[in-house]
Amino acid sequence: MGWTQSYAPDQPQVRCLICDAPNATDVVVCSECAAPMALVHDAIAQGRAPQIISVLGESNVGKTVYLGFLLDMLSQRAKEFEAIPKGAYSVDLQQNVVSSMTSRCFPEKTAMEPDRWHWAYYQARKAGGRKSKWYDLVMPDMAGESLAAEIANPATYRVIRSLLSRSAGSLLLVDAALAANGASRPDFFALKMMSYIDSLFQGKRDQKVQTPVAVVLCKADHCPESFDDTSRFVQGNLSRLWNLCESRFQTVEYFACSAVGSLAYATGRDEDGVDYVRPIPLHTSLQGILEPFEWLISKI
Amino acid sequence: MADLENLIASLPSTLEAPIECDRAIFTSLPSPTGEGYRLVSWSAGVRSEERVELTRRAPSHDSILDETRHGRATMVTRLASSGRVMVLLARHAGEEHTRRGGSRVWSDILLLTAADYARIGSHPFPLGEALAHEPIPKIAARGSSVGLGRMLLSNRLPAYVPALCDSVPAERVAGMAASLVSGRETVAAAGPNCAALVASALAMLPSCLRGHVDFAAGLRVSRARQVRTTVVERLDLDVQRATRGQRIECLDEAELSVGLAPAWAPWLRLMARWWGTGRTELASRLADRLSAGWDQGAVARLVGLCDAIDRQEEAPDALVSFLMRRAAA
Repeated sequence: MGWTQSYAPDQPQVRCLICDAPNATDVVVCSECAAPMALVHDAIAQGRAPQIISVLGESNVGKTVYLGFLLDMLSQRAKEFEAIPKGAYSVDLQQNVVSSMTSRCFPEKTAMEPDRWHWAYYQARKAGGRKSKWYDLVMPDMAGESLAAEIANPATYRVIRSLLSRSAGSLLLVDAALAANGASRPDFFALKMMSYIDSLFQGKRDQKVQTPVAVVLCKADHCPESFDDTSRFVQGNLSRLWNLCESRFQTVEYFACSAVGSLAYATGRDEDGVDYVRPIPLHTSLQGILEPFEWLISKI
Repeated sequence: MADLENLIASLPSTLEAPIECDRAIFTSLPSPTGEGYRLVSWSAGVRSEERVELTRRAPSHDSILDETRHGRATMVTRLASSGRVMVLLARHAGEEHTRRGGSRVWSDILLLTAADYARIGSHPFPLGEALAHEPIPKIAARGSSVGLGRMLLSNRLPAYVPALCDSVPAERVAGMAASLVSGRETVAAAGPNCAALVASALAMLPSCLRGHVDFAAGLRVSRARQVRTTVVERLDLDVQRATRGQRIECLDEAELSVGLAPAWAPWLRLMARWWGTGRTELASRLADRLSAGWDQGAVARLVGLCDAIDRQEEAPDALVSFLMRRAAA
């Protein structure tokens, strides 16, 4: 079959959970979108289809750090959440993030190629005895550049389109520090991202998109006022995003979060003689990581 | 045999007029409107659908297997959107600009028609050499992209002289060449400096055959490349994970042999023999001569003639006469 040939219909097949492409039963990653086929096998074992939560944001906003810490908090029963990773591959991301931050460095940039993304499949529920509902959640850590490329030219990455079309909810991460300093780039990216989501559902003008979206202001330690009144902060500093959310989305909530307690900057000169400044996270201080997820779960 | 080399070298060149090709650069740079890996610059002839495909297939962060600052990778393939040949030359270009670790991957991309690629011998080496002499594009670290001009390839492109002839057994180079033309989707392990091994293997193939080869050498295995042959340093867990169940052949170094392409085995054995006996330049020049119009049958007859010359049953002039008759026909 390979990567450049079409699938042979006479072979036993399993359909990918994300893109629905047929695959042989023994493949590890989908031949079409590179999603782990373990998602399918685990979903079959559970007897129910998982719900996809997309973590979106531009490059360098902090998606990997946010998702890694979120998963780590869930697996440690933060805020009475009980969460179980389905498959060892689901733990790779949080291990990568925690070990990097422990070493006082940010995790490396996520590669654009979908087969190099981290995928997490978790079962989670809020503690409440036997009556509390279990959620099967699939959360891929996508590269910001891939999202940007897909927004600019839809169908560049079909896996992103498939993911967002099937998402039960989305976490849109926005760089609050840049926005607070007057940069318009976070606002424009968020506007494009939400427009893209809006276009996927192609509702009538008076029909709003029903998929819940949590807008998460990252790096909010740079602008503590965003914790006090997040909605007002968004309205003032991300007005384009605010207006689109109010007009086209039924279920939107705004949150502020921070992962880094204090940041230092190392300066030096690299091998090519170029001066550089490297941010160093001195310690982590998690604020507002779980709340967006908690809200999203309640809306699914 | 030096006479034979001189005779072959004296045959007229097929590259008469300069060739223009389009260029693009894919790397990670910050700008007012965005940052991260994307096409930062391209010449006017690069079409929008080509740019979409280049974005999808080009290597991004941490894609070059050789993590030293001298690490290189090469990828040659046909674009599905336009049919043009893409020659991608990737290298490390300093540290990734957000300083999160790892080097920035800089990919110079050249686009040319299949006919133009055939005119330069269907080998990426001349393009790499020509690119090295181009002025570095003025793309400011924090500025917007600057449009690239098209690149002009002169009619005096340097011929490729294989560099691995002394350090790598000729049979292994021939085996790599066989894997490139086997027709099967393959991931082949070639040890360190795999991009150089592939360059040498290409030099062994007849020029008419090189144009059908698409490969990625020195890059991490990824289905995003959409190439038939991926050449890596070793078959590690990443390779196993990416290829399991995909009906992709994985070959380690010991499994590279001319038997992978039985139809071309006689030619590759001839090339391996000439390489092993110090006639590397002769072999390369002869392979370069076999451009359009040479089919498997004609190459087989040529191999028979070369074998006869080596056994001293025929004079070296017979080969030149054979080549000149083919060229005239």
